[in-house]
Amino acid sequence: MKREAIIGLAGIILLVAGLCACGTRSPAPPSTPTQQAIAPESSHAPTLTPPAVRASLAHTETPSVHLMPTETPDWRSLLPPTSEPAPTPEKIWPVYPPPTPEPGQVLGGGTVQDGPFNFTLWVVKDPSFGHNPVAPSLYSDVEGRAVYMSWVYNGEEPLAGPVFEYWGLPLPRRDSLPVAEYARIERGWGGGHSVGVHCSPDLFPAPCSTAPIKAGLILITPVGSYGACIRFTLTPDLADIDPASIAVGYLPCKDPNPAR
Amino acid sequence: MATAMKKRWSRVLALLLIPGSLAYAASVAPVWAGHYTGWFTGYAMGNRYGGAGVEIRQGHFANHYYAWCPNDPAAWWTWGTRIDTDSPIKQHNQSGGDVYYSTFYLEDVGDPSCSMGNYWVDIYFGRWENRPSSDPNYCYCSGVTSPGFCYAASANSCSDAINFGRQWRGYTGP
Repeated sequence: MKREAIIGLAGIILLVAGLCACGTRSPAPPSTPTQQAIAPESSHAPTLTPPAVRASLAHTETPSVHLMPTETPDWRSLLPPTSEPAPTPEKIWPVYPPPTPEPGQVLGGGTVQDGPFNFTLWVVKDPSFGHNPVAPSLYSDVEGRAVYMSWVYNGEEPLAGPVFEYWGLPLPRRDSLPVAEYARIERGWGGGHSVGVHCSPDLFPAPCSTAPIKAGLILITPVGSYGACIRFTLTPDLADIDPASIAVGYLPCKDPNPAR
Repeated sequence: MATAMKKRWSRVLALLLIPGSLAYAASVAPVWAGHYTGWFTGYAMGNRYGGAGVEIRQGHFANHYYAWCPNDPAAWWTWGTRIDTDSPIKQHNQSGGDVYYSTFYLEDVGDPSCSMGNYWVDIYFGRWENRPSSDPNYCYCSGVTSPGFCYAASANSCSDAINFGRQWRGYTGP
């Protein structure tokens, strides 16, 4: 009987400890009551119903909390310092090029080899890109059109980083942001991204013309820089890409070579 | 009588021990359980507050909402869920300097049509605006509420988001 009582007590302690720990497990940062009261809506999908149910999963303050000021520490202080590079992740995961578009989506382009890298640049049909996309990074001056850029490393030996990936022209601009940074790459690894058709490198939205549009992809590695370029023009009505104008070549994109 | 008492005690003990042990085990299990790959996009400006009710800022991200995209497992993550990207994402601060982020917290939702696929991540690039308030595109960014809420700065977060494009990336999460 005594032993059972001890076991029962242990069970109660475990139950209480477990429930307490579960209650603090969610990393949901505390938000100030004022912020919740003012605008429980999405900044991203403003025309839709606020996800109140999801909010209720994480925010469990009692109503009384809303009536008094709190001195809850700002959870944002938990974020990494913004003036220093982020720490390198402990594990380096392999990276691969983005899924390739369906053949029917490719309007033109091709693959070029530069050093140990193969670069594939295509102009593609992609309904995700346009004037009013679900995210600004899917903005395109030409509705439903985008530039797909990818690279694959074919070197025999792993390449120690950092390897910076940039896109845009000219490359890299003073204010260019690398779209990715890799600590190491190995044979068969790759990367890439898609961007909208941008009639101006700095202005969004931009007035378009029939002047050539260029986009380039460059990898800056400890052993050299490698890249490729695609250029094309719009149709006379400026509503689409002229497939015959699409050419892929080497940087700096002055005299494009035909795709290999 | 004593046997019946013992049986009752055993049931009570079982009822206490089983959920207690499960709750304790769940509490000490590692928080980081998975590595995912999916499309990454970027956004900027927009409304001041996100779906979670906090001011959206750099270091936050949006993903699908489970009522809109119930088939996306990530849509069920709670507000404040932390993810760590395989490689850092570079952004600009208010002065135009470089800042790196590889840790992001879920504070907003987007893509109600679920077009970006499972484990989609939409990185917030900030609300820095380097154009004068008289500019017709002041605080404007295609794809979000415009004009949105922004701060005067030497950088333009919308340009940064647009230039980010759509990337296929990996990250660690719940």
